[in-house]
Amino acid sequence: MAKHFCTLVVMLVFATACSPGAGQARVPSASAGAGEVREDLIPASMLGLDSAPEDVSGPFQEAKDRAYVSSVRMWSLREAERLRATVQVARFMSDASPEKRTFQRSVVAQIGQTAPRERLVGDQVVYVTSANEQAIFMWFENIHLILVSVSADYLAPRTLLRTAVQEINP
Amino acid sequence: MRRAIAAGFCLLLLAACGRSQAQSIEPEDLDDFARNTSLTSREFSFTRESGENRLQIDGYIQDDYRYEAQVLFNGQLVYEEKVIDDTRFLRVENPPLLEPLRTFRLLEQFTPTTLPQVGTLSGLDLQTEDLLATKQWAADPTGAPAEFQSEDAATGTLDALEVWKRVRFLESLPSIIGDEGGRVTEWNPDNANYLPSKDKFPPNDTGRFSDRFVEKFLEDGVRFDVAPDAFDPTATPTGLQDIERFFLYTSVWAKDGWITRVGRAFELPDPEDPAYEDFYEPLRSGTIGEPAKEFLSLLKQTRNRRLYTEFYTFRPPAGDREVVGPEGAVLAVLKPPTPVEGRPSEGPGQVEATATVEAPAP
Repeated sequence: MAKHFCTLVVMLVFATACSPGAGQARVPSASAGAGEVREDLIPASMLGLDSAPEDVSGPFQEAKDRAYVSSVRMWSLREAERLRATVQVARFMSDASPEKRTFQRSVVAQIGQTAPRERLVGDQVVYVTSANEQAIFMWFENIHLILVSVSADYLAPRTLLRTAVQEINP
Repeated sequence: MRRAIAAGFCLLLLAACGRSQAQSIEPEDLDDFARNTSLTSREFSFTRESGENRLQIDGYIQDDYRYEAQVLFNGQLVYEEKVIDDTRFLRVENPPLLEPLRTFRLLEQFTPTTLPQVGTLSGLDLQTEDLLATKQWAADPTGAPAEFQSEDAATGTLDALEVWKRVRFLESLPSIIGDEGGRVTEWNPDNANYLPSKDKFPPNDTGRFSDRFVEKFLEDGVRFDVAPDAFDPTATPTGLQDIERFFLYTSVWAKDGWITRVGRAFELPDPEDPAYEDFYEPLRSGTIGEPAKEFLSLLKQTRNRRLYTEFYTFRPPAGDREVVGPEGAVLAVLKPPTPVEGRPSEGPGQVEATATVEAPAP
């Protein structure tokens, strides 16, 4: 699963780069410093999995100039040494329209190998797709895109997803 | 005379109400309504009547990964289940009804070989079936149906698909409605061509118009009828879907941004109608393939041209409600073991490491 880290980050950034029609968006006020995803966004442990930040500066720099994203961070979620999931959070620039459904669909359509499906988890609409033997869950919150990728052999993906929806508040 | 006046008045009232709602709901709105409804907590009810039998599933959907339902057969509770994220809970209330329910589902699928012959009625392993016979709650921490589950992958009477299909039904509504112009029309009993006898979902079972009907009509909203494909005499049916394509009628009721009801009627045409000679001739002459022969068997069992009628209804929940796991559930495997041809399962199934994998769609 680790080898897919960089691929997903690049996909996430390129997906937001290619999304059409941002238009004149009304972007909610940011809760962090200008343009940055907060470092402390993910708790140290989530559903018994230990989180750790991952360095994705390289792939992000490749596409930064063409993206609607100003910042991306990634965390790994491990059970001992075994990687079970990753969490990526991207922060959109002011000219993106993450609150618009057309924008959201144009972004998520470029991630994963299956047509994304909309699912209601609590009060949150989550897009679900899959790729490379991973389940991929995506949702938009304020000016952020949150992407949780879960390994195929992890037995509680939906429980993890619900925990993430509840605990990740950018 | 009074009845005629009353009927006329009710028609007028309906027409007036229909017109006012027609101004606000168009067929093009139905896809959005289906999405809105599917992304909302809701109570639902599903019924399927075929011949003298009736399957009913009543449930509550808190969200897409938390729902609960009761499955009834001919008015009696057979089993109930809850799905909470990755975990499935199951309790059988009436084990003797599993056999007739299984038969009913076989007829729905028209392919007896779809259900694996693992030597148990439910399709589960023998140990789990013994547990369920005690009417206790069983819990499988990885038993929830997979995200990209195929509807054709039925595995047993107690598999998760029976309820799962009803929970996910609205997702398929846009494809049922289709995007071909002219297939979707607003129901209009004032139309000169309207005949109650041809209506697949007549307003009132007795054919009379009454205050109850008016109330019910307004409650469900505006009705749209979706016509099936025009019959193609050159088509050779190889399975149920090939036949449903021409004779499965759908009606959709919408109100206040919701899909409130969907009706589906699988009804064959009049055998005396020469327009359908090409459909009935292979059945009469016996020159049909195996799937169609099983279909013919169903036709004989139901003894009328209406093979089945289904209804889905959706309502907002009465109040805040959460799906909660039952206390004291016993750990079990609620997915069938891999069937071995000619040999019943001899022990508990194995929890597959990939049981809840969100596998790529086929």
